[in-house]
Amino acid sequence: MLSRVAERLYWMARYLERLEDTSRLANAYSHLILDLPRGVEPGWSVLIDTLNARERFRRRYTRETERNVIKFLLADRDNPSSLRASARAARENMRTTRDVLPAPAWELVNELYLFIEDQADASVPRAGRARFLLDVIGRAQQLNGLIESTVLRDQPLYFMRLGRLLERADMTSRIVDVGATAILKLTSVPEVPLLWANLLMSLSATSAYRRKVGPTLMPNPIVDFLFTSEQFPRSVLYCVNELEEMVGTLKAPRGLLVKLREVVTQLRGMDAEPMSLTDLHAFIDELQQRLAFVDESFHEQWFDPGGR
Amino acid sequence: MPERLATRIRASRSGSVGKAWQGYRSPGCYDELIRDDGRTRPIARRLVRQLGRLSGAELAARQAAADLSIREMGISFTVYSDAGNIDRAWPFDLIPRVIPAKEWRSVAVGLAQRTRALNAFIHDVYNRQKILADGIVPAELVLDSPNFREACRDVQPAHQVWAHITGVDLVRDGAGQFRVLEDNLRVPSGVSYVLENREITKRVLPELFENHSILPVDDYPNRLFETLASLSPRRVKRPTVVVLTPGIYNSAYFEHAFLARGMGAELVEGTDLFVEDDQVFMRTVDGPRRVDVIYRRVDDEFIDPEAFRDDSALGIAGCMRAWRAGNVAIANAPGSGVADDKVIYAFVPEMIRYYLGEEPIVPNVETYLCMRESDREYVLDNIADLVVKPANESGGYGIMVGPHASAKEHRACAARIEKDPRNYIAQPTLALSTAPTICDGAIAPRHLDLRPFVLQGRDHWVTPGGLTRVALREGSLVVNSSQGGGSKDTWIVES
Repeated sequence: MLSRVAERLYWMARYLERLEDTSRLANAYSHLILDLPRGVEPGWSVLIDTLNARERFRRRYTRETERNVIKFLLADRDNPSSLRASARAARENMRTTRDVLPAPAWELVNELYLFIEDQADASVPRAGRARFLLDVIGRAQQLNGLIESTVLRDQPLYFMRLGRLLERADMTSRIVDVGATAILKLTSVPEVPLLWANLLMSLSATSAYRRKVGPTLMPNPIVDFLFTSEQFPRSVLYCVNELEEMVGTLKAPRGLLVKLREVVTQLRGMDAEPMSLTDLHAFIDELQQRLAFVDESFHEQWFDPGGR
Repeated sequence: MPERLATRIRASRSGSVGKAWQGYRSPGCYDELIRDDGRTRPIARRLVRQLGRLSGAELAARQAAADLSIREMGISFTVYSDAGNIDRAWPFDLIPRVIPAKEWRSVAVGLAQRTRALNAFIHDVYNRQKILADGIVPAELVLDSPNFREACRDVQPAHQVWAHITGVDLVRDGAGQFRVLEDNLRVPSGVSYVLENREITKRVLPELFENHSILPVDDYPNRLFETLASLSPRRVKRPTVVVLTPGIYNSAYFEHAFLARGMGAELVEGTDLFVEDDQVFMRTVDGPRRVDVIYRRVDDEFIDPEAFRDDSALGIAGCMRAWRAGNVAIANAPGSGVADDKVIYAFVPEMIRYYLGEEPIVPNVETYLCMRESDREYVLDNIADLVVKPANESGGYGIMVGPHASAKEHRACAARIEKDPRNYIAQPTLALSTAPTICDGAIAPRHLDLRPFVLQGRDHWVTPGGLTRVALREGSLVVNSSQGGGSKDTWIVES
């Protein structure tokens, strides 16, 4: 398979995952705000921090109002992580690789793009937002379902999986980072358990957590579950384990496997004792840096190998 | 006035299109579905009857469904303009154009005949040049042409075929006779729309297919693959065929991707390929892989910066060396464009007689060559009635339609002809045939042409029908999608 095509499929899958996860985050957060009494809301800027986009946001808006933040996340053309920009990027990447994917995949991504183009602006107000975000999540999952159930078990699929898994691991760690930060700042408020429930909900992890850990929502077990569950498909460790398997299937050299093993070692070494906020930050920073190295080695190995 | 003849569906009192069709008349041209006396042609009777049962509102709903399908299927083409390149949805008219299978079979034989003669000509001019020595075609016309490529001299492509994929533009004259308007031998496009148009019709008007036996069109990608595979220099079970595209900003990119997927071939850009030891390789995640056949959708002059334009970023350096060495097949072969010139076109009937000893089955359109003094005088005297075309443009660019142009444009055109007579031909203004077309909710006659595609490798194959392009503006004869043309599904129907 062509190196260029492999790279585009990888990014197509990353953008698709990114738009799904951003929708989940925005939806869960909007939901949460409805439950909180006036005055204790942690503020909408948390969502911007999740995407590491504070500076970009500041260039476009002055006030961190709900409207501005949601607009930035859903509809902004200049924010490369907005739903609109992600859908566009996913579509462009598929447009240039549509010859290797089944025809309906292109139709679905095209419909998703048209849907977001058409609805994003109107979905900024609360009234239509949930409907819109659930629709986007559903469409993205439909597309992933189509890919998983119809694409040949072969290189194109593996490169899409690499993109999806790496993006998912990255987004889960971001969501935990920001969620935990927001919550830990508000320890005295009686609604705190709601916030934790909300964090789980944004990752579709609520019932999985209850079955595996228990009914009580405790900060540390939640963070631990989202990072190191071997069974929950959105946990960071689960994604990294799958990445390892894919990389093995693609017959990557040892160096790449070593980089992934390092992430696994870090996750497994997670301290079971309650972590301070500073420690958690440092832990996640290190994790994200390791994931970025993994991404870099994908490029060196497959997408842009020098010397040929 | 055709506009007055067109009956408005919405205004039709009974609400039935059946009535609406009764007022339909072509403005003095051959109409594909309705005869001069207003009666439906026998081959189209079932179609018109079935469409007639749909109310105006239903028909409009189906057209809207078709437009939505096109958007959702992402069927698009790119228009180049000063304001930047715009990706437009493919314009499609719901009412199919119907051709009797019996008539089509003879046209298909004629197209295959023409393609054989053209390939014999290209092979001849790059090798022995017999036709030039015998004076059938003036030697300077070929040898001085910008399309004659020195780099192609003495090459012996597989089966002595150069133009493997051609898209022949056909029109019907006033009497309904099909004539060849142009041979497109370089990188003709449009075939993907033939398949997509059929797909849309099946989605939107499925009931029409119950009562008709319509020849299927979706075999094309398989036939194309077989044709390309038959050119492979290596005798392997499944040769590596690639489709070379200039990239996503090319107007036909949609089609490049469509065909690559249809054939299970890689869609490559120039940077994906490289040449080593006169062999072509592509860069893959598993390392370099040998390429056997390149179906190139890039113009000759961009194909190899070493051999042609050194500013080309689209091509592959050394690719011509590999081709000359016989290590890779290129379709269409570089240099095929020498026979795709509106002046050379005029000599095709002679080529058919010369190489094949046969009479042409599908005639040319009458053509005046401005390089001939007597023709030129006639053209200059009658410029207001003629269509003047530059020899080397495509896509409808540079054409002067006499009856639709101003006196100032006539004078400018005449001046261009006198300055460079070799580069111009003229043809009578054709009464292109028409077909019923949905325009602003009414059924009105619009002019159309037809582009069938001919494959030639070890064997040959002609698409059943082809791409019908329709000029959506009233009275317009320009059908190119880049200039406001639309398209129709084309049915070859067994009667």
